Amino acid sequence: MRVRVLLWVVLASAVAALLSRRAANADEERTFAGSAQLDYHLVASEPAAVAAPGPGTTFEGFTLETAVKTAVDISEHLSANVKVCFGCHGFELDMAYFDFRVVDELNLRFGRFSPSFGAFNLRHDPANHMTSDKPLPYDMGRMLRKGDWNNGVLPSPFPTNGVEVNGTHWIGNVAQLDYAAYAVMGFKNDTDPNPTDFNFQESHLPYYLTSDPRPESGSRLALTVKTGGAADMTLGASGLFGTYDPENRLTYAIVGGDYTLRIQHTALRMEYLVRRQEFDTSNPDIFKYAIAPAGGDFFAKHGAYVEVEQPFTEALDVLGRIDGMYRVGNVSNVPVGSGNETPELSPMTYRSSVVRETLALAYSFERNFRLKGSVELWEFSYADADGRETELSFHLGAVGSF
Amino acid sequence: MAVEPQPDALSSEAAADYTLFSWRCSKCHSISRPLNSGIDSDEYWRLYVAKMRRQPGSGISAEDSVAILRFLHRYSIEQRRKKELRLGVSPPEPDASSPTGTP
Amino acid sequence: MRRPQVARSLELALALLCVAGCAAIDPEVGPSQESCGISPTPASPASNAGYGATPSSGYGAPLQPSPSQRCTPDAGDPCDDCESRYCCMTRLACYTDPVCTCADQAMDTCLAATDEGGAVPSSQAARCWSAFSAFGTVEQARVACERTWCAVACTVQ
Repeated sequence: MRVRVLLWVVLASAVAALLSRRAANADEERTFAGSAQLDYHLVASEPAAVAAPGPGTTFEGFTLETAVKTAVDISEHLSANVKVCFGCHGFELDMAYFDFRVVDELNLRFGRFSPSFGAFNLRHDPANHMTSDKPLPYDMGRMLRKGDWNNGVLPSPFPTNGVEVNGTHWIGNVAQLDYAAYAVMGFKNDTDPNPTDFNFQESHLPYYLTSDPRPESGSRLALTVKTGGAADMTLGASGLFGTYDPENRLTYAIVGGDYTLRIQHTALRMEYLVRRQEFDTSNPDIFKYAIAPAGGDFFAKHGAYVEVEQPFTEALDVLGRIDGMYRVGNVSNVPVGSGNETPELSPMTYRSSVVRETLALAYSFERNFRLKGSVELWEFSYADADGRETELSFHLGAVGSF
Repeated sequence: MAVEPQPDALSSEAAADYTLFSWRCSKCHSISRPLNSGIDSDEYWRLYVAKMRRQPGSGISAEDSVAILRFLHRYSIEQRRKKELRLGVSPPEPDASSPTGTP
Repeated sequence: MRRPQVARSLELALALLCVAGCAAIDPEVGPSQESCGISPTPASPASNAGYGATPSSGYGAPLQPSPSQRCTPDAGDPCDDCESRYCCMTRLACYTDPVCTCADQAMDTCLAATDEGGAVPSSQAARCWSAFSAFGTVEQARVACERTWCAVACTVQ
């Protein structure tokens, strides 16, 4: 507890030092920005809104996400960014890093940041995307039956501590090549006696240390090509690898591909991710299925989305999205983070899927204030305790930025 | 409901600059981010646009940055004028020269 | 022509990559433990041996074997008769172990899917027995006893 308090004092001091005026560094430029989104989630079938992990857990009602960020450009080569956010988990340090740019093709980033993976995470702030929630592969906590699925493939954002080397290179005025490689503190599950999946809460919240010292490593490569005056397309590939248990035995790997086409303000975006993850099989009775002697110690979770965003008027944007996840592999009857509580038979099967269709509208009343509304149709491959495989949910939210 | 500068009220060159700015600078965030940033210094805009160019997948080429900086220069002048009017200070003569921006 | 050969090679490489990739991310599972009479039990504390210990070494609550699984001679099936007579201990050990119970059901399913239903030696049936043995020491003990005493009656392979 004392270590946690000390950590927050150190962080607050760092933020204050960045914000305070220093006349000696007159060349520094700083910007200050922030956003806040209040969203109301209504599920037509009114499932239980339970905070603890367990089958069928879903959040309903109001949720708030707010963030403030300050960026300081110390020189042409050195900059600092600090972003603090408040959401379902309370306060979280989303960013606290320095960028040292040798040249455009070589930039060194160190501190706390979300490593480069996929295309969506750059827009994870609620003010930067048109829906109140994220695509399912990147969902963190808003999906229905989140307790069954343990969230998405790679819940966004995924800030962590480490170092990244990245760069960008323009090929004439036509193509932009981006690349990054990093070593960071990865996901963890230090508390479950038989780890079967990440504990995302444990991975993101202070205590920002892990029993597993081996870093997660990964990289990203993307090519953006301008196909005309008003159009460009991006094709990217990402991958990361690490271990998540205290003994460095249980591995995980996530790979993904992304494609974005933008013509004026119309955007077509699609991404695919898959996570292959090993789990502990030393207590086979916690699983729904017997452990197969070969290939029975891991699961794979696939996720993908396709969305089209189209402005109808200057103030009104419309978004249509289809996303989903497919999980294959053994299922633990003990939800992550529930410790030694009496388990319940998981409703998931060894091949489970969810597909969601979303229609969303975003209306800007002012330049930096927007109302968001969406309707979502969910189709699960397995029935819940009430025999339902289909759900309907609604979002209504407001987001402001400054 | 007007939420952005109206291209119809601008000259053709200025309208073209604004259109390119709105295309390129709304890919990863809303257009309100740069317009509400409070930055009104040509030099800082030069550094900031260069920083945005380096963001992954920005699609902002060096050629684009010339037109974008030209729009931001005009926009900054307008913001400074409005600020000075609010403060009751007589605005200086508008500077019609292009901003520094190397292709 | 050169170009079609290159294209064919690329297509073959891509297909092999997909097969390898799919194998790497397509796990296997055994039969449902609920259907084998295993109810969920709480997670056990981490053992000193660490993770990944060989399964089927006596975990879980012991099950009560059904009457057909106990060691009763004249059970009607030559294999059951032989095993009840000569391999009673290993038979009971398997049917009182949750994982072995499931593995036994899986082997029955596997043998039923072979051409002769496991009644004659075949490579398909041998794979079923091999998969059963791979589950752990309890299964291996049962197979060893049957191979010694009931190889003909149970068509052990």
